[in-house]
Amino acid sequence: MNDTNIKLNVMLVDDSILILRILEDILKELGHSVVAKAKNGKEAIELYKQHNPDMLLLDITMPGEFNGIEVCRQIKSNYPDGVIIMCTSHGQESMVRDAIKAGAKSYILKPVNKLTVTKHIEQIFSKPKA
Amino acid sequence: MSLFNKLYSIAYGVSHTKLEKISLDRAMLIDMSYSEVIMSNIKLAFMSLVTILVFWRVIPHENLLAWLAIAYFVYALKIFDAFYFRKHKHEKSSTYWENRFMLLTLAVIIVWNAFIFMFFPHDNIEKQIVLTVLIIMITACGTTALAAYQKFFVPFQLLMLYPLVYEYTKSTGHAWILIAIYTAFVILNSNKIHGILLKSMKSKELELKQVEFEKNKKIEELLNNSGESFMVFDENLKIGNLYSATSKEIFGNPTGRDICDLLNMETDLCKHFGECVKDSIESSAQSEIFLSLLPKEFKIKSRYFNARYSKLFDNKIMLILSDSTETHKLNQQIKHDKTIVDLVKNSITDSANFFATIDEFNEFVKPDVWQTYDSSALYRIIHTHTKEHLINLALSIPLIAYMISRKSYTTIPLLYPKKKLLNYTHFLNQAFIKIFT
Repeated sequence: MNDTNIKLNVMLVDDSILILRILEDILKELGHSVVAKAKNGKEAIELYKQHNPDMLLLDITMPGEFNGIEVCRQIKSNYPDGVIIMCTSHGQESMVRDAIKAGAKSYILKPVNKLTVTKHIEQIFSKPKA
Repeated sequence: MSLFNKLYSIAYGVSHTKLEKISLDRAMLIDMSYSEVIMSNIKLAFMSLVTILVFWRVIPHENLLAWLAIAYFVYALKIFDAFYFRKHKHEKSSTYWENRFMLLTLAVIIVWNAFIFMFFPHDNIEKQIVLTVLIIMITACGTTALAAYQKFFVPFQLLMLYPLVYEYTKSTGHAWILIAIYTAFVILNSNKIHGILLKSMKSKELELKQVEFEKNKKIEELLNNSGESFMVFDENLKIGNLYSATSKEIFGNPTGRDICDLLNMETDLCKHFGECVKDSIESSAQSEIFLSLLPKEFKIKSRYFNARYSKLFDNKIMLILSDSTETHKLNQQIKHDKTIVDLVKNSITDSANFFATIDEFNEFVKPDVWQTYDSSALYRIIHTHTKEHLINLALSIPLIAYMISRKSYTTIPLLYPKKKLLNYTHFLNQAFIKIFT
């Protein structure tokens, strides 16, 4: 269970089933719900429209016509308040920069672990103390 | 150099360079100018009404009423703009507000000068020339005064009433005496204003220099004592004159040098570095995220340095380098040992993922499967296989794959033609078979 008592509806997008499984395990352990999972950009855009999640964890390199940056750009143009966190690896800093400029809120470096996910969720969703 | 600063420097005789250095003062002046708009325009509205009432006795003309209506409309616009500024000032850049303020200010000046044209002497060419010159000068002075200090606008505008005062006093029979008194009043008033402005500007400049000097001294003392190397650079990646003693020991005098050259960055990395610095300076909300994308370690003269970055208030970036050569060596050893431990741990505690990864990879490396993929698809799959789970599974082979995948996704098919990628996957296949059987 997370320390902030926030329960989020999260959507995951990654072309690797294993990464999706690892992320889902971590989020469930933190008390969040995984409302949808997509393996490519096109599927991600469709599922986002259906579920309108609180947060989207989006892989930056993906197969198909839309990579992570393009998915981020499209979602942000229709849902400006949507929270998108990019999942990325070392050496992709230039792509992360493009993603942040496209509207992503932050980024998580792989390998993803419980501590990193918790830290990002707290930073983004915790209300500032009065 | 913004229009605001240009006019400001013309009005007070302060050099452009000095103005650029005291950017805080500039932001403060925009705030101050806007804060005085409401009262200033109420005063102007009153002054306009009094002016019309006075001159109605001499020249009762309907144009005076038309002028008053237009003037009131412009004052209302300025007051509305001041309220709008209060509510939305953080949403737009200071340049935007400067330009907006200047445009509306110009509208006020035009309205006031239109008053002169209403009494333009059509029959006398000399008077026309003198008045035209006067109008141009007053417009320039009035705009600069209004842009910087609202409360000095009204005295400046007194000049514009010259022709009107003349027309009015002519009818009383003491025209030249009154004009002389009025001129003396205007000149004395103008000199006084100029003196006050110059003094205020100079004292503000001195105050800012003192604050900056003390701040820099404190930072320098603090960081010199920490034994770390720190340097401050700007958007153009040029290092300023604020640096620690340790920096001098490593690089010599770094002032004026390019940070990319100093840290031996390659062209691509330097380009990325510059873009992130620019984004960080321009975006206040996501400044830290852009800084986090900058390199975190540099190798300088066979030693390793950890790099930390911090955005300063005057749109500059501070780089702090700490010698991490010993830690780096230890980390490399720990990383190697950890990979082996993780491999063993994962295979015991998370056997499902462990075997799923092997199955997934074995499926991919079947010749009849991977030979059907094009270069982009092959690269992407190899990239996927180099992620955490695979790095944890085997040691050197996925690390090679990882190094290759560090190249840009879009350029890799060009750098690694299909044949080379196929050879590579074949190599991986053989290597994995050897490792896992």
